[in-house]
Amino acid sequence: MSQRSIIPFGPQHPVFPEPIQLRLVLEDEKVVEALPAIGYVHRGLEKLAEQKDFLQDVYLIERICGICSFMHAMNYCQGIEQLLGLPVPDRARYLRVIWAEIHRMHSHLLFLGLLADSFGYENLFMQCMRCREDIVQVMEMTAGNRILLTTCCIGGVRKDIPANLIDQIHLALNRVCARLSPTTTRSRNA
Amino acid sequence: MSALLHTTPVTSENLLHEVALLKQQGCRLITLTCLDTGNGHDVLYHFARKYDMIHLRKHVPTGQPLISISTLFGCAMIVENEIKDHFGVPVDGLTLDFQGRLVLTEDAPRAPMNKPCGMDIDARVPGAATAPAGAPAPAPVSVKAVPTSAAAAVPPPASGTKGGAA
Repeated sequence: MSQRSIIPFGPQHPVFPEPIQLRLVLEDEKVVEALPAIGYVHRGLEKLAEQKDFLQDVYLIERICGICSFMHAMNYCQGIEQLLGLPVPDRARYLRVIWAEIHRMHSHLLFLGLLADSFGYENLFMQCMRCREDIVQVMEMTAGNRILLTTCCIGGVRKDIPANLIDQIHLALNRVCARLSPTTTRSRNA
Repeated sequence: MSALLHTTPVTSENLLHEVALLKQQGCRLITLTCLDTGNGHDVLYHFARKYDMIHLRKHVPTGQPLISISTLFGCAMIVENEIKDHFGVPVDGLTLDFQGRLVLTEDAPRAPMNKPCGMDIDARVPGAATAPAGAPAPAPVSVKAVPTSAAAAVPPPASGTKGGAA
């Protein structure tokens, strides 16, 4: 007769990129069940947001995700503006689109790089990170921060992008395009 | 136009029918959201059809179960289990029932996302969706003070910000 035992695997373990617990049910040495407990990364931000005012929540909601942080803040601000009937200046809307698009590029490059890294294609990972660095520097140049821009606020944006930075942004984007194009061609084996 | 305008109220009787219709039309389920309204919970179903969003609103009175749509959209199982964990709303017909332990551990508080007992809550936003631009904004959440709560003794945070909007 086999002996059943339960071994808790996690929630903290070197092989896990994020905390999770797997309760491994063993019969002798054979794993017959793996019961996941996934709640270790749930931070209860919704509850915290209820206790803060609208303006404080912008900072909180921007930190839901470090990769697409600007999108979260922009969506939250747009929601509050719509509820309150707040007008947003055109320039602020343009600036939001610019930052959102820059953020989207860094997010997609990070995703592609990490995806490549996860199946062992480290060269593509390095190429993506190199391209992404240009994007991240544009964010630092325009917002002062590399990832958490914190430029969105209810009713508009906190910072302006001066005209003298436009050329530098163009240069950076052209450099990304020039580097990324051959990389994608090679990666697709096209 | 406010997305709140497109919210269609549904009942327990026609929820599955409405969701099945949306599925036939090629809609995909984005997510569900839940809100403690004091006398129960409002569960909102968010669907996407290309660039359009469609919202259904189901009010679940306290103690009554929510009917699962996981038989139609399998992915709804995750968020329905999460609603069950966080708000204590019983969900009938879940394809995979985590028994309130999807994200909560055994020693976690029960239904932590519900509003504290003793608060008179009206979480609806009356007229917000139809208010003209520039009109005085209605209070988004009306919560009467709770004298016994520790939070009542804490002064409200400063609402001013540094710097102006562009």
